Amino acid sequence: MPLFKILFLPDKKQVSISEKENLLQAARAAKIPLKASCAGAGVCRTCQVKVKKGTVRIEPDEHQDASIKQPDKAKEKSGLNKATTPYVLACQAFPLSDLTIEIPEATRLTKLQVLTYDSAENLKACPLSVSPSPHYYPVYLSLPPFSSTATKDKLSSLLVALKQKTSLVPTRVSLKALQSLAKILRPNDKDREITVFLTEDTGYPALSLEEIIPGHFKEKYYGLAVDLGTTTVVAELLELTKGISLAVKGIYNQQLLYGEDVISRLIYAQENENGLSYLQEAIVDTVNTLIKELTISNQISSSEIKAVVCAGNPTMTHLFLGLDPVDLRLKPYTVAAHNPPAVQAQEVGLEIYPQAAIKCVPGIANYLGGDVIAGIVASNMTEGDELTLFIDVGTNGEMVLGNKEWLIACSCSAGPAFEGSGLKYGVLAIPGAIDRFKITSTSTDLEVEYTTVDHLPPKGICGSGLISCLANLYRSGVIDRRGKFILAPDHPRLRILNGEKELVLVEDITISESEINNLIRAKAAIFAGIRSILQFLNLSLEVIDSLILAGGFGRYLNLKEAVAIGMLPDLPPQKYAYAGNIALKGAKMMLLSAEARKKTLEIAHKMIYLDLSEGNTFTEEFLAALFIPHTNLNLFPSLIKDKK
Amino acid sequence: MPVKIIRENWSGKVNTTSLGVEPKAIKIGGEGALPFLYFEGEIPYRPVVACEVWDEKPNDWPDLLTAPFAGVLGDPVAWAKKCLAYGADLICLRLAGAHPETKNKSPQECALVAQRVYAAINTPLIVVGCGEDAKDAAVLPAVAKALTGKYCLLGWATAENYQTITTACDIYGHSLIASSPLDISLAKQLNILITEMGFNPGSVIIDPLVGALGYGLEYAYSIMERIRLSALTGDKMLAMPIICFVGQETWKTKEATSTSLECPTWGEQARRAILWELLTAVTLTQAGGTIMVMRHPETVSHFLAHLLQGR
Amino acid sequence: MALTGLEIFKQLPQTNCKDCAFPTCLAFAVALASSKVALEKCPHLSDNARAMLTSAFAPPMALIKIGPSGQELAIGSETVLFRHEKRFEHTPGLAVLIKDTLPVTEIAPKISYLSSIAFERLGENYGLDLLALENCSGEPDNFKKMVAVALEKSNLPFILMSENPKAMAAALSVAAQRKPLIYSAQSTNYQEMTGLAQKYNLPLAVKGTGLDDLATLVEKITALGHEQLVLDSGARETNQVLFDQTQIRRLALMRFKPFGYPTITFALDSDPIQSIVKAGIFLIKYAGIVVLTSDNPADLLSLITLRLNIYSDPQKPMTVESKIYSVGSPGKDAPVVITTNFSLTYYCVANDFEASRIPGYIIPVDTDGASVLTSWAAGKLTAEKISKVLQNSGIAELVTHRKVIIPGGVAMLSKRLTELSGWEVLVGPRESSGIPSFLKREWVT
Repeated sequence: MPLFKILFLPDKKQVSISEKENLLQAARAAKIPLKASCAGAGVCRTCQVKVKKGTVRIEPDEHQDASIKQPDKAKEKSGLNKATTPYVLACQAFPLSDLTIEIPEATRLTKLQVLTYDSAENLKACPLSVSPSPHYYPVYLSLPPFSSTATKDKLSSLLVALKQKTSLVPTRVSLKALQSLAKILRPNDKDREITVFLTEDTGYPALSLEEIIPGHFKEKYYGLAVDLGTTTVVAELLELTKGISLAVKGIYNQQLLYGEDVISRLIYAQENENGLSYLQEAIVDTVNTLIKELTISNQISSSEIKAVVCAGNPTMTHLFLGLDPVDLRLKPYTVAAHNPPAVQAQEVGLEIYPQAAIKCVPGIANYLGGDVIAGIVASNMTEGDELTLFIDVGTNGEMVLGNKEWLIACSCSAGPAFEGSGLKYGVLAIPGAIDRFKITSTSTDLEVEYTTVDHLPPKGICGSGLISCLANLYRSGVIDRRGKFILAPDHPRLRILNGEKELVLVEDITISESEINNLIRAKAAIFAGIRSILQFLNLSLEVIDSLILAGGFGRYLNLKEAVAIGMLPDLPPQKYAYAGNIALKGAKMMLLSAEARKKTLEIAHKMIYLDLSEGNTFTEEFLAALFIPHTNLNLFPSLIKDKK
Repeated sequence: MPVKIIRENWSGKVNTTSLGVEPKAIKIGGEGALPFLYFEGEIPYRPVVACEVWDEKPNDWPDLLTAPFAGVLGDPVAWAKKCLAYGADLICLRLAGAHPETKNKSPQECALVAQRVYAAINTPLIVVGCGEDAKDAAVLPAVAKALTGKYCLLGWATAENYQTITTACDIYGHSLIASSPLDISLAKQLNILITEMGFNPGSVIIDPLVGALGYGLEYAYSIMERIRLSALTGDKMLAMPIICFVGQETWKTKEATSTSLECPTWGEQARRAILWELLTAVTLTQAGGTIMVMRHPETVSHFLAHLLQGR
Repeated sequence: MALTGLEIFKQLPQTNCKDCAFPTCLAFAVALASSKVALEKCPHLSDNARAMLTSAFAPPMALIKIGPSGQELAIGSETVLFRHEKRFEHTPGLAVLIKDTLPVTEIAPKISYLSSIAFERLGENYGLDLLALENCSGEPDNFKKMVAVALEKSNLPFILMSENPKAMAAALSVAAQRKPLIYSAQSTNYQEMTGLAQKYNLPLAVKGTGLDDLATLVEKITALGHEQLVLDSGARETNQVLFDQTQIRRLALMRFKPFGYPTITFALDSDPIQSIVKAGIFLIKYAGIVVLTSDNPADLLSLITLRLNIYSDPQKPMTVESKIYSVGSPGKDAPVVITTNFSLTYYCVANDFEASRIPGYIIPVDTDGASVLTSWAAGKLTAEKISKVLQNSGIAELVTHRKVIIPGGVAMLSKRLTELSGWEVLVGPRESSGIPSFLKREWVT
């Protein structure tokens, strides 16, 4: 089979593919991150590229109706299926010759602003302990000289000394440690000091003696706290003897090429041969890329990283460990392990110290995982009597309600709308993303003001911008409470594309009725989740003492607008706190503190999970929330007041 | 041993709506209690029966249903008069011929039919379109205008077309039917949208798209019970009387349309079909339904007998 | 009033000891609140908490069984006034009345016929639940004879109706092992009737002349030590029955002891149709047993259907049966639309399809009542499942084309569905309201 050379611009990366492989696969091979929300099914239309040179064959498919840039060109159903416009969907285009492909800015996953917990506001977060106690840790021992009369070997003496000092007995000694031991503590050696490294595993009795080093170990060694997000992966490099943070970096999860939300990826893993290994490779690659960047910029060797804590949702954790994720979707949701035992770096393919211990934060249910548990640990909400609602708004909305006595959690699928997905002009909070609107209605037109991240020219709209957009569209009378356009049909900003109304916001940035509908569904899912969990315990919104907002929004979110659209409860602003990337913070705490690890497990055991797919409560609440702000307007008293 | 009777003290009540022109005006609603619980609050008016009259001869009605209207089908004026003779409280004119896939009648044609029917009966009139949102939005304003001052009830206003219909009903002084599928939130949402246009909530009638006996009746039953409970506990956006299109749902069921020969173990078709329509209506009035739109004259007389017996 | 999980939780030791096999006290409390576990599973309850919770969990209404074990009708044990609050638990029994004044030659065939009535609904057979045998003649012998015939001709449980303790004793001498309901104890005969009920350990219907009298009688009978009771306030006129039934249910839920039993009602009217109307209302509004005189299959079919409707569980997602539904009179070239069996989804699709006036077929796929996107996420709406439906539903015989329309929300299934089924897949609109314009655009032209 002939191979064609594909040159990607402006990256100037070249790969070779066969006529049976599409351009999305070529981009994957070239490691160029493209948007592909539907994982190449040809329906999301996000992976548009421009063919500059050469010919492509288009998969005969209903959805292949020309390009977004040329809306008025009717569907091309020619038998030849040769592309008649330079814009094609990468996932549906196959080479017929060597190609030069240009990747438009809108298709590319652009540089990312890393969200860290530094953006937290108004949060009484858990303080970090002073002296670190990571799960991979050194113990210094001084062994007495061996006498020729005793029959003891080196290991027995070592174990006795270890037990005397720490009262610990390892359940396993690595061969590598034994090999080191064989070489040291000779009769003439004056130095009887050694350092042993132990790995403990939260929730399991395992205690492994991994390394033995002569002398009193005074070097530095490193650890990694990782937030395994569905969209972005963020890692923090820490020095473990002192517990000092060195750097934080985040990049897109390479799994984005296999679908934007967890469900798409689960289905990809299930329906494609080697799907699971592709997905595992993608996430491990992503973390390795981060490791490389972090170690280079901090001038350390990657083999000095010996402990890792990963906080991810159950899907990410499964895919990272290469566990078949089918059971996450199918009743009775019996997964392999909610608290996977620690594994070695070499087993998953992380390019660090091969025996480094990698611990994934435990989860509790198929859609409630370590990222949330880590966030709860860091939030400190289990310390007092006051009732806290923890809300993590991501592709899945996860909520945890409770205090020191009890915790109850639920998860609802909000869809990726707030992460900018499924919307033509949706983006993450990248430079140039519109994060705020002010729309006013004039007699003939709309006045649209906006701000962007880093004050750059507008590239798209990020989550907080979308919330702002929705709130403004309703307030200015562009849409009704259900999100339908109520402007006169001949309004200068309205146009019809593919039979659907859309509104021109800024330059060529638009929003359509179905996109608005997506946003309303997303906000409704979150509010319905909150209401369902409260209703389950017969509590009213008012009993909540504080709310912690975790996830992508952070300080960009305009609370007033989020309340105005009915996404978040209408409670006094001082009850709200912003946690930023609190999952990363939780992972870091677990990396540095044995106490935090113990607490994580306690929290996971204490928390009960409410399956919203059982019964009708969630469905009813969801339908009631598909309205701006809500069918029950009394739930939003401040809005009624504002109107008056 | 004296038993302490429990009376709920409801804070709200159902809106009162008046249809038609004196002396034949009909009032409905106004209930301050659960259906038929007279001891608990005011129940000023009984439920009413509207008979369906079509502008065109229906082609999918079973013989059992067309027989009582022999000679008048296709003549809406004569048909309406016949329905009144059978005892109907009011007439529900359905503009089936407006549908783009059938006769695609113009708004003006439809308005004329409605006007002629009203002139002939001088009885409160309900006019519903063909059920296609866009066409109804075009037809009903013309009908509304033609019936100015007659205080009719027009439908169906849905989430897709409520704006034009609401405006027309507002200008020409009619009530309107707000129709949404089988969900209390959707019903309330539509009422909010309509009343936020400045429309009088007292002129809105809820159509929850009921199902017939054996075909989702219980969903309608519970949603209607919840709507009534909401009204009684003070929810103004659910305090509207409810209309149930009983005949339309009943007469497409297998139980009503199968002949005695086709289903011998189910008993005689005549009795079965009448009971099917009757029990659907009876059940829905127990849940709080106020206007029952029915088709068969026998059902109408049994139903009215039941209502009058209870007073 | 039912306790919430949190209220129960406050009564528990809150030690998360796991001795109840639940991970936490809250999890146990929540399970208790939805009656999924017994209180006894917690071995560490304080005496106060136990007393408080035990009384809170005591059912407000007794469960009464009529008929021999294995074939008995269980009624009562209801916990709500409105079915949407939770559900109505035990379907009321439908009984047909037979009088012992009927010529003997007619009694046997009537009983045989009534006992044989069966209608199939959703794969199950439904018929009458009880025979109400009434001693109209006043003669104990006639009564006994009729009961003997019924014993021979029918397996149904009985209601034995007589005010005369002697007649009742005579009937029971042959029928007690059938565990009938004794109807009825009244102020004049309650001691003898209660004695008979106790002798054979049978349920006893108590008939008052109004609610006050009924409560008095029940107290007297329970004082004699009999607690298997069924209540009759004596009302027969529709609105009076409605009043009494409502009061009895409300008071029972407030734990007014004398009314903590199921009820029996009589749908009797000179007009046969009005008696069915009455029976329907009593079925809906709280009766435990409805006695009627009609044996017309059309009457029974409609009442049985009504009872099935009202006593279905509203907590379960509302579903429609997964089968082919026609819209209008579709021909061989009619469109085929796939949706889920969540009834709201289905009805939206059906309504909008109907509004299009284009005849066609809708096939809801069984997704356990989940909507399109939810069922896709949970793996309940898959290309495999749709493909199977296309193969097995019989739709391939009804249409000559091979084109299927799937919901816009699951466009991603189209490729695989084509591979699996061989049908051409058209991706429909995301919202059902788009169906008319979609069909007009993509199908008609």
